[in-house]
Amino acid sequence: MFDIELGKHVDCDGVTRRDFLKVGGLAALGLMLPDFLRVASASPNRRDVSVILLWMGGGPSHIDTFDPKPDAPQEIRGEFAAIPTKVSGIQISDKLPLLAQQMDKFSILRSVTSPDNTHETATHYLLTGYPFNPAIPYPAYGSVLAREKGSINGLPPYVLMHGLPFGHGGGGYMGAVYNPFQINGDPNNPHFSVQDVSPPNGVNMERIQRRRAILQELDTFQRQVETQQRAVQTMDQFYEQAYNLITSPVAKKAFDLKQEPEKVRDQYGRNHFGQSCLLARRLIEAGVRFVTIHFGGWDTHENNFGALKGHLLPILDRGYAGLLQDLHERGMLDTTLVVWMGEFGRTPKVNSSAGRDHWAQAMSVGIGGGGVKTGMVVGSTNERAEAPRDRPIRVEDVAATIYRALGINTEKEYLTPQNRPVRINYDGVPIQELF
Amino acid sequence: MKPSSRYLPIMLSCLTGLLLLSPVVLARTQNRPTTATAQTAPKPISRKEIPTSHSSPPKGIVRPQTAAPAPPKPTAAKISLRVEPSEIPLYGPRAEGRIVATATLPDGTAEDVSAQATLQSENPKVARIGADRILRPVSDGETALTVAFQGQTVRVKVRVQDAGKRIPMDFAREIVPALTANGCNQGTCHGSQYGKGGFKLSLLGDDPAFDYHQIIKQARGRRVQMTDPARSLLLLKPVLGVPHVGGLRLKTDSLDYRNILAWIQDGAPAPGTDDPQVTRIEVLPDQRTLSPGKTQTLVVRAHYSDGKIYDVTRWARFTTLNDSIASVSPQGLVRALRRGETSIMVRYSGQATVARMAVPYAQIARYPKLPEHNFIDTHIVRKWKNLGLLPSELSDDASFIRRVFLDVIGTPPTPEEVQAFLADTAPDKRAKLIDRVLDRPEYADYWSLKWGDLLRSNRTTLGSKGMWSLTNWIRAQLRENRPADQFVYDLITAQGSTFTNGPANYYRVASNPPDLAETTSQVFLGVRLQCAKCHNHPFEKWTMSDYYRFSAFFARVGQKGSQEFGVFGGENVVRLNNGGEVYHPKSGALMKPAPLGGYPERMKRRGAQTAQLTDPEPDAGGDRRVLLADWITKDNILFARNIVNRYWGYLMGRGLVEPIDDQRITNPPTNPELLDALAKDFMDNGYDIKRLIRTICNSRVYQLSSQPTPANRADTLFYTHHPIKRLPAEVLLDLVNFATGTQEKFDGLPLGYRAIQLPDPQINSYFLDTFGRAPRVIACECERPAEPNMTQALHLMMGEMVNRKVQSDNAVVAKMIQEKRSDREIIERLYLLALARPPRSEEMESALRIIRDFQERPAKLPAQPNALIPQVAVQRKPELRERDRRTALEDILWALLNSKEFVFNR
Repeated sequence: MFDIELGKHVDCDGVTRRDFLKVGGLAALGLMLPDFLRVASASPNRRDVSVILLWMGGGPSHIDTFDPKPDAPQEIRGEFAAIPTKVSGIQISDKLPLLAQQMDKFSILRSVTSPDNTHETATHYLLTGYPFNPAIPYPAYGSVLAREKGSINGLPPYVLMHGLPFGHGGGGYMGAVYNPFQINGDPNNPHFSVQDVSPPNGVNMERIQRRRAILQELDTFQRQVETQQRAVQTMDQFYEQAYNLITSPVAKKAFDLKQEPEKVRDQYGRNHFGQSCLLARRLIEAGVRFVTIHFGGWDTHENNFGALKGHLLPILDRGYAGLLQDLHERGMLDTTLVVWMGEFGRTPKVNSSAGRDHWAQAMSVGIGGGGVKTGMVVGSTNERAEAPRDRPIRVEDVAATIYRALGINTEKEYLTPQNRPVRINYDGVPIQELF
Repeated sequence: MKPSSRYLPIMLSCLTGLLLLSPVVLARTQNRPTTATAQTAPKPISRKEIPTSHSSPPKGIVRPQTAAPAPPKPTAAKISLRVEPSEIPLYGPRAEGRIVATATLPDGTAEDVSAQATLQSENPKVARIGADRILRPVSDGETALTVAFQGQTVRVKVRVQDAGKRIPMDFAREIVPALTANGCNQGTCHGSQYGKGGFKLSLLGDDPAFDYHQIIKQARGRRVQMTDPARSLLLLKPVLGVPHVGGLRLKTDSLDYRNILAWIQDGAPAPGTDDPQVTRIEVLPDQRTLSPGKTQTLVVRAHYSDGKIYDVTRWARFTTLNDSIASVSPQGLVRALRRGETSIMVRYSGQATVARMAVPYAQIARYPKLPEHNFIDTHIVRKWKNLGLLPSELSDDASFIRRVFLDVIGTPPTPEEVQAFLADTAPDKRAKLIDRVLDRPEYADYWSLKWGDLLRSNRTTLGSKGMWSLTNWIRAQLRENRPADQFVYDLITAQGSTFTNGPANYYRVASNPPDLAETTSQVFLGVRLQCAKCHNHPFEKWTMSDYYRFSAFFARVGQKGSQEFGVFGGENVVRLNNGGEVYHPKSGALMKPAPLGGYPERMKRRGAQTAQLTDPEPDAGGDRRVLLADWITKDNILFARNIVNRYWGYLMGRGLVEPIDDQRITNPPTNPELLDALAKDFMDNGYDIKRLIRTICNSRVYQLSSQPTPANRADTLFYTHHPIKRLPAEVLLDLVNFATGTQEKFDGLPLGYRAIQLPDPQINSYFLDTFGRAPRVIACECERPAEPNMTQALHLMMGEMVNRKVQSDNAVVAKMIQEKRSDREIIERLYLLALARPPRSEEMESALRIIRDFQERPAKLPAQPNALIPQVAVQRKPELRERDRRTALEDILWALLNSKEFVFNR
């Protein structure tokens, strides 16, 4: 394998960097490669910001997490109290004591508001910054980042843990090539391994190398009679990438949670979400640009308080707080944006099943790291937590904020397969208070 | 800006050698063959037809860049000149007229001489030619425009009407198109659904009444200053008289600026509700063959509902559909860049059309007589001839049998079937094989998968019983080869229980009129209507009214939960409601049901009082859907084109229209004559799908090799070599099982159930998810991912499942070793199972060597303390040799499963 310099590539912020292309034996055929492969192995830019998105599928209650209303009537206040945090003047739910101690490492957006109360469409909205439109599936932030910046160290640029919510969160109109690399399985399981990146039973790396040699010989015979067409070339490229991934010592190390000291593993919480957060940190460290962790179960129409205090909030508290602290201690927080959100908030008024229903008019978003200002609250809701009292923040603005932190020019247009010009972000204004 | 986009001097003397041109006929008439005579039984394949080599092209090929020295100048007398249009009407004082002049040389090559010909008005008091070579009215009357070139003269009739009449600026016809032409209302500017800077216009001017309101009434009327028209924001912004985010859009000395100013000076008259509408636009010429570097002038004319025709070239928007083949300037000057074919999309006032531009690959002086199996080849060969393309040779028998099996039944041939076919010497063995494959029971399994995707059969929306009911119904239609018009008719008019009447589930998959309209038009007509839900379609003539009138067919379909099954069943009964209407979301008007493009003559009824033809009404208490089903399935070319294009795409790897479910004027087929011939053949023969598949598979073009020749490698559109196709996830999984001699166990289904038989995507399979099955959420072929990805490569290489199947004691390698087969026998079998062909001798030798090398590799030695002592190769223990043999054979099988030849259908 050898590298060919394809030329200079100018970033949107004017920084010139070199793009390299690994092309293996195909280069001899003088083949054209698709765009996505052209930025496939970019050299990391020191200033590049990565993202960990903590996705609370189902829609977490804002009142019971980051927007408590201790003075509201019981039917709204709910069963939890508010506690002070490390930042004076900011209170959050008393079920999040560890996060309260990390309040200096993130900010809370309390006045985020959206008109969409339906899981599926609202999920699309929050994960892409675009309202759901049946004619155009929009790409998720991670897919855009993958397209704009490419991959590092043979690792996939965009990784998703535990399933695309409602099928959203992928490349959308940009195509499946920008879909995230999905990691399934429970990282808390002692036998956990990332699927298909380590040799299966009865096979070792030596045998893999041998098989690859056989495959190359076989392909050579086939190539003598078969000049390759584009689809075939593309598949070749993916084999190359896959092979880079499984032989990359960096990747291998990143995927192996066992290399973490027990103390660190405990700090994140010995559960599915906590260990996913830890794995996310390892992946970002190794060169992944965007990790989404899908943590479901927040659709608490019934028994809201039981479910929250029983498992959801304790797990969240430990995992999220552990992640912020660990990133900080490793000096990674300045280049890692951590975003916490779900598709909407929940009804301020508790329903007859002790649950809370969908409420998109008001929701909270947590955001910290990656150079944004922390220890702040932006916006507020009215005394009943029903709607923004001041400074309404639209979903488009949240999206624009994420892109701003990533240094992505949102004015840039992509063409859909129907040749419709679409901007990376439409009409969003980055939240100035954070920059 | 390209400096020379307007004018290119032409040296006639260079022409003849350079251009391959099929003459004027191409440009003007639809030169269709009579399909009745062209359609004969497929010819048997004979060895003689297979060219011996593709490396030596037939004599007479001249590549454009290595063209022979130009032949002597043609004698003047032999040039013929043609001018379009044949008549120029000029209505009102501001009308314009343009012409396209084409010189045809004796050898048939044609050249655009619009910019070189001499133009003269015979009576300048009626109409005069300006310095810009545009004809303008002077006074009412008739005259002629004389076009002269190289001694040839053509007279074009000119009619001038209302030249002196004071006609105020027409908002819809003269102002909105100016806004469109200058980009004001495009999707990224004020045409966006949110507008821009607080000013919103309808997308590409599709709603003049809305635009008028926005311009005159919004922003407290600041946009237009009646007292001082030039101070109007509408004019100040685009000329940067005040800051404008969109930049400079208009110059004060431009005609559009003067027109908008004049419109405001006229008192900004509103568009009238009964203003004439544009009924169609035409582009001249609508097709042309060019060689690289040559240019072609385009003229656009709009036909209005009052019968008037206006030259609207000035305002038309030109877009090339492939900018690497031809570019087009904003004024409509096409420039051929590279070899291939593309279309120029032309849009004006909600209408769209295309002009086809062909740039031949090579000039072939004496095009060889190519063998043709049936009418498909006739059309294909004509296209190749026009484009200077030559096909690859016929595929070999082994590739052919695998291709036919995988394409037609999603199932590989067994080693015995392959060997029997290879040994067969009958001249018509391919045709016979196609017949045999079509009769196989897997036919219904495989195509149920496709139709299950299209109709979105899935238990999430239908419940398990509804899903099985629909799936079984689909399977029965395919097993019986029920004609397409009949089963589509049944789907559209379905009623009753979703548990007992399969097709009724069509009304649960989509259940409201807009969804049903979109699904029905996309699945059965290949028309994507979605855009027209919120704005008139930007690339097609479909308006919001078309959309909601089409939706109105479904306004009275209702559903009711069945009492009988109560809470357990989830059974629904699809039935007709007594009322229900669809209203236009903007105007609020009640929309009467109508098919796209209106009712055809045959469906109209004579009025009771007058003899006028009127739209049909459903029978009393009747089902509007019957009218729709009647329209779709009877004598409807859209329906037939859609079905034949889909099947062509499935079998040939690329639709004649691509994407295969996106038929529209601005997405023209690569071979319109072939698409229509296939559609007509399909309609004339009882909508018989098996017959359609048989016809395509028997064509010579289907049977070509996937190996391109040096000369046709660049072609990706015209089927000169067979495209390499990705396999559907289900077929690939079956192939893995087949090649390893293992079976799959799916949840809730018996062992051995094949992946292509799965009724819906709700059955767990990481393999199928990774390789991409259709989730059956939207009715679009695009649901099934077309692109491979890295996860797929990872899963085939490293996946536990694939490896287990390769290494299992029940798998093919272990079993054959147990049966004491020789290495040669096992290798041959592995190749036949995986690739449906025996190994070539060098492949066999290589495989044998791999086994031997592995067995004879030196055993691992303890590290040598003294590097000076030479390492001695030590033989592996004999008892390990048998284990090594199995390991090596399994690795060969693994490599076969990961080879491109296995993963693709070629």
